Amino acid sequence: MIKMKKILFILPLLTLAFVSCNSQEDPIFENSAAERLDISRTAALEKLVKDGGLWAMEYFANADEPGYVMLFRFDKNGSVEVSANHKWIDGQFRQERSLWTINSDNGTVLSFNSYNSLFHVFSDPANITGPNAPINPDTDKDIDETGIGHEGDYEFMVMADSDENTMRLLGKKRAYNIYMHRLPSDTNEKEYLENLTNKVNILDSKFKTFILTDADGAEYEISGLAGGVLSQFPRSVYDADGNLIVEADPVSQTTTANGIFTYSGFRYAEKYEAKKADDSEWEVPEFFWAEDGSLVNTEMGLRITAPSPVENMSDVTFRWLIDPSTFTGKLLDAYNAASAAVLAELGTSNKLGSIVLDWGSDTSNKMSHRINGSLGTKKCYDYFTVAESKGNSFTTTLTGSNSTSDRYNKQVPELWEFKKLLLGSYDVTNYDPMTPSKIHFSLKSDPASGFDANLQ
Amino acid sequence: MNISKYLKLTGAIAILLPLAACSGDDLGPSIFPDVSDDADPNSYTYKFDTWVNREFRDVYNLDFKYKMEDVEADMNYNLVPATFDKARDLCLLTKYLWFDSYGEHTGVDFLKQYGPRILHLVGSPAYNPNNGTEILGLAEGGLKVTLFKVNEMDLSDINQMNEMYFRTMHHEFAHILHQTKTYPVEFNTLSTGRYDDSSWQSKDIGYVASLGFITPYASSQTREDFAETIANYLTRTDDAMELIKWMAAQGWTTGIEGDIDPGDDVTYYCRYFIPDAEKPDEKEYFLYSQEKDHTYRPVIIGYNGERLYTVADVESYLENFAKTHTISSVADDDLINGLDIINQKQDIARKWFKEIWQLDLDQLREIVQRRQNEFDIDALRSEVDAIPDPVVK
Repeated sequence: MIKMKKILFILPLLTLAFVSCNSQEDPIFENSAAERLDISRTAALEKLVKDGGLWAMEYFANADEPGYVMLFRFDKNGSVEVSANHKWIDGQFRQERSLWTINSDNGTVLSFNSYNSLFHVFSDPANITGPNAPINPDTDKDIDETGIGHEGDYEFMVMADSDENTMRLLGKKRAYNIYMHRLPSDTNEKEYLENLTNKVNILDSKFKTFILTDADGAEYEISGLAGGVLSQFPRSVYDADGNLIVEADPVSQTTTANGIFTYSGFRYAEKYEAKKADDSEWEVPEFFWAEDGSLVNTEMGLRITAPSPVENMSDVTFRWLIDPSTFTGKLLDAYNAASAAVLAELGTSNKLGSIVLDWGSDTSNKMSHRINGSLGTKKCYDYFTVAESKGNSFTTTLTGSNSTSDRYNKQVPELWEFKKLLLGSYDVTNYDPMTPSKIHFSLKSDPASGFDANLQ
Repeated sequence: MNISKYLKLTGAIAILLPLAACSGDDLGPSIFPDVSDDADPNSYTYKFDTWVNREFRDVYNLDFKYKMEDVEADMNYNLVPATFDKARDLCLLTKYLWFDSYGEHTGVDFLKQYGPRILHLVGSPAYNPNNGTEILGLAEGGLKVTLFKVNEMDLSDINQMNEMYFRTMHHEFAHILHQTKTYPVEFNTLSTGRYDDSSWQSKDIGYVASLGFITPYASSQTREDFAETIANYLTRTDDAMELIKWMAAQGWTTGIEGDIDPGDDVTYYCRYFIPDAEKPDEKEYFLYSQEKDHTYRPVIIGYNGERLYTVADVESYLENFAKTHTISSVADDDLINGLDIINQKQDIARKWFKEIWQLDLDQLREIVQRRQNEFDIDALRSEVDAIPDPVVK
């Protein structure tokens, strides 16, 4: 009985002896958390200052503004020179030095920890003022953003999924993805930013609408592209004979997104899902500049261009000035004959002046030209309707003239013949797919006869 | 061996065995990176950092955070850092106008013992869009003082700097002191029932002075009243203090019949005139007060918007105005002697400083006033410039 008791007490002791010394655990990481954080911090710091430390940052402050490209030249002494020319500094190129650091308060964090007026303007809680200040559409008055400002971040978590020449940052408060791309050290910051601005400025703000065409030929109207905050809706789908297949709804199917123009193209701030005409959703990807100036995504067969020239031409706010030096073929002959006849019939002091195609409504489309003479300038209007308009073709029909034009048309038959020829049927093409401020007109009946017109 | 002996033996072995078994474990190197306390000789801010370490860290054990860390601030506010130049100048002036004032009066040990351990600078205001107020400073548990609006600092205007920073520093330090050793409860009884935590910001300084408060913010809570009493006494100029006390001695009215709802943004006037003898009941009130205007001083506004900053100006103005208008004082019928209460509060603070802290509030005020009148920012900056260039290895 006593032996049994001894065994009963000794057994638990033996088990204790077995477990107590086994303190070894296989480490999941080679280093401690603090060491790993320090390694990550050092790596980020060295990456930023490497090869001259010049980076282009694609910065987003909020969902209502476009992204802005700013350049940061990081110095290992803890200072950074920021270069910018965005609209909140009146579009003027400026540079300003301030401080930066990599800290570890929320993972590895890049912090711009002293104020830089070019960059921290997006984080400043002051009311936004000036010509670009947001307006309340209901009251037409400046919105008071005191305490809010642009709401942009100036501290960013350094994300680990970046390559050597790219850094993905995540805004600490707003959680926007901010990308930085390394630039060659000898990049001239002023030239870089001005060239980018010029590239974007080509998207002339006169053209409010652009067309996104997908691989299946479906079209989407985009407005606000040049400003970087765009709205998009699908167009109705028709078959080859013009029969409606799917009717789109521009009201319910409009979606909005903000994005940024960069040297490579245009990307949205965040994942952007737009509507198709059948109301299904699709993710709109990043676009890249094509050689002809359009924005494309070849992988998905997408292209953004200006609308067809016929659509643009007939914008009632546009006036198109014909360049007489570009007349060719029959039109050149007719123009020369008309010009000579004006001189001959009306006297040598009179000239056929500039000819303008001016779209109004169906009843007020007019071709205007002037007869400039010693007695002053006479304004001649010849009215027309667009009888047929399809794709890149249209046909005009003369409907009448004002009394001055009528008088000259009768007095100078060559002028009248020229104008009848001029208001004919055309195929039209844009010279620039994104900025159709210059259109070429070719007579359908004789493609060798044509002219160019420039947007006034 | 009986069962009880086995139990004791088993228990003893069970306790000792684990202890003995692990005694040889090697703790290995520290998990924390080995970071030097000295300023980085390669740093853009080496000279200034060296100065800050020498003047604040080494003397007062204080971490002067002029490079903003958002984790040090309330993340609910939208804030931005201070510019390096503004932060440097405010840092220099903080030492000269605050730490050195106490140091001159009582030696460095006082602030070394009771001063904050962290001073954190923020470039922008901390706006509260809900009530339109903005926070000028924060003191957190006697440990940290945060100052805002550093990017607006105007070195040419001591009134502005007092308003935004130095009065705030004295205010927050007063909190630290009374959180360390409480002030007499007698102070709390002087304005019982007149504190208003929700709508103090809509009240005029003249009106609250007549109730016995040195500023509208002082009328929010007793502890703010105490801190404001000290901070305003130390930093307000003689002219400003005299004008506030003049306001405290006047009667004030909104000219509105009936009760005023709490929070109503009304103006209180302290004079009226009756231009039309045929309509004696139609009083046109004038002469109102503002806590601060663009000059960051308390001011009395005249009938045509004249801005009067001293008691002499006000009295001269009223004397001339009375030559062309019939004027009368608003009756001071609130049964509160505001001037007397303010003086009593200052006396309590004075006595508390003397008995609890062995400090002479009046002498300290003289030092603060002298220093804020004579500071030379270029001379202060030269202290930083005089730091030797780093020896880069």
